[in-house]
Amino acid sequence: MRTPTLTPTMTLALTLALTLAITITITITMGLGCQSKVSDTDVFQEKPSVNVSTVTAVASNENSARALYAVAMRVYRVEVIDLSTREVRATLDEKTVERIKSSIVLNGLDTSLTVTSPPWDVVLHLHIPGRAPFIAHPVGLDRLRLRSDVPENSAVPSIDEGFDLVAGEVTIDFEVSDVLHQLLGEPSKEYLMEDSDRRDMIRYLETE
Amino acid sequence: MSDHAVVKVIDERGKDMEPVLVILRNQAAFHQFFSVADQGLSLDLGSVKPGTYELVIALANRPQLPFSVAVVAKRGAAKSITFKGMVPRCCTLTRQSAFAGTASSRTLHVFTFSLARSHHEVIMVSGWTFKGQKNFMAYVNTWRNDLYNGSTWISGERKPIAQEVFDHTVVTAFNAETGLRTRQIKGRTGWHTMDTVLQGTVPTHTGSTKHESSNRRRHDEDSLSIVHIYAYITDLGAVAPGSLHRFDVFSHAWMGGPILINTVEDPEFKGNGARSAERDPGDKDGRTKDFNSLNMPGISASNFRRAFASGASARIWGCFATKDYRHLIQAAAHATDPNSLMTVKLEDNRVLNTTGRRIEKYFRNRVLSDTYMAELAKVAQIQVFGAPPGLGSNVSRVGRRFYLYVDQKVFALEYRWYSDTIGIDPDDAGYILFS
Repeated sequence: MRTPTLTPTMTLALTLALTLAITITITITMGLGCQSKVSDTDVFQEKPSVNVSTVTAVASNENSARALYAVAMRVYRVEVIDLSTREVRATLDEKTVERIKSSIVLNGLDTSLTVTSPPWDVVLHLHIPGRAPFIAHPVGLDRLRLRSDVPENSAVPSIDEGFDLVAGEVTIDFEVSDVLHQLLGEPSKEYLMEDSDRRDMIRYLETE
Repeated sequence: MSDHAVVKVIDERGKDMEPVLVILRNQAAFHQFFSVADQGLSLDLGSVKPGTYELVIALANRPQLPFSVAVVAKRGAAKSITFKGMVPRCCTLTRQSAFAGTASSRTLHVFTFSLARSHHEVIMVSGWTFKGQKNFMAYVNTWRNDLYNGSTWISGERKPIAQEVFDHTVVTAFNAETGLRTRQIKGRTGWHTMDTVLQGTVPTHTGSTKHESSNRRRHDEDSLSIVHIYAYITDLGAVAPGSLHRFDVFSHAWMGGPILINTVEDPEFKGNGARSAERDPGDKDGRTKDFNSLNMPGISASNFRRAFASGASARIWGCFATKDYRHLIQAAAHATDPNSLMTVKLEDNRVLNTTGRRIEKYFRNRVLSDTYMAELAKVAQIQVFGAPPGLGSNVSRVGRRFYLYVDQKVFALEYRWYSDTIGIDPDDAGYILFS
């Protein structure tokens, strides 16, 4: 039987592949570790920075949620973009970004789409080194929707047009929407209570 | 030689049922069938102009049943009558020719309808999505087919369910995007459209929700409203008591009820307004207050209730994504001692001091009993299902079938709290019973 020999090119390719595999392993391990470090109080202690400027980066959703899931741990900045003015409303603080990253890795891709309409007319630009930012719509209570067909359209994709559900949304921590609420104000009515119901709730829960 | 349309109606045992009236009508003409010896209820087609018509059958204790037909001119003076679109499974159309010389030879076009002794109907509603995507009709159609097939793929795999749509069942769909009410009955392939009727005087205005003028127009115009649906049910209760077996609403929804068009009430009809208990006449969406004595007084409430069959059910398929409810459930679920004080951060950043026990009582005594679903259950005396308070619905696709459901994996913590603390468990699709 002939013993295989490695050419210099094959050796280089093997070394690169091994390095990449080790990097991915470390990244995922770090990602899982980050989840336990983030607590509710951390998120609320540090307010997101508000930085209104015009969007300059060309965003892309090629392969949508599937692609984001694969590289989630490399997200280094998340901007909140106002869909009507095209301005950067805010840049999320580091702890919220970590929370988004780790929850995407932990929760993975979702095989369904959220019915509830988006709470705000904004998108998140998730920046990754060496690629255009992903465009994600916060939807429902804890999802990010990524449309590869029309990235800036927040609507549930028309299901009769063969949309790939598996590539549509990722689940993030529920508390991220609280951070966005602090930044953007009240969400749409589907998420809210009527004032009279809210007063009744508070009275009941604090005194009953 | 003459052509005659003949209508016969039999029940599920093959016994004759006597129609009160049978007519052929369109916007320009009206032809009544009369009883002819040895022939039954008949209409000589000689006087009927070719064109499309409704063949309307009126039987006691049920609404008039229109079927879409077309009268076609044949060679010479001969005429034929056929179904327009899909042929209903509940009808057999045969042609019988008798030759007895030119003057007395005739062809009988015999419609034999096989209907149940009692009227049987289900109502489905498709909301307008108002954020750019298409309406909810795909979910209506999937569920309609599942109810006919007696099986569903809603959980991802095929499971049997009770068959609730039969060959004779009228499936009425209200489409909030178009403003149309369409009645269908199962066809030999697909579905036979019986009639399509605009609700109100204009179709729903579907201009962007970002423009206040469009929102105002939706409110002010006489287009489809949930009130049209209540009126339809009430009328059904008056003529065919106990005939409505299901009422399904596929739309966005919130704690206030199903959102058909996403109209906003005028201030005087809102929570603290002078007329807050009344429905805003311009409002098109469902509201929890719809079933109070002001909005559904005496006779209409009783006919509304009378429409539903014993054992009937309703389902509001949209979300109940009130964030504060989810905050409360999560806090209560994490509490180690249900009687210890804890803080819960609310949507408006207020911090609430409460206990797990109080949250449990609040859900039992206020939240679950003061919902659109619970109020509908009370007035209609039926089982009503909906998303658990605090949780949102999702869209799923199984092959070419489209479903709304509540994800029990994503909301595992909340479902566990509902089960352990309140004693409520969801069905396969994640919805809970409110009645």
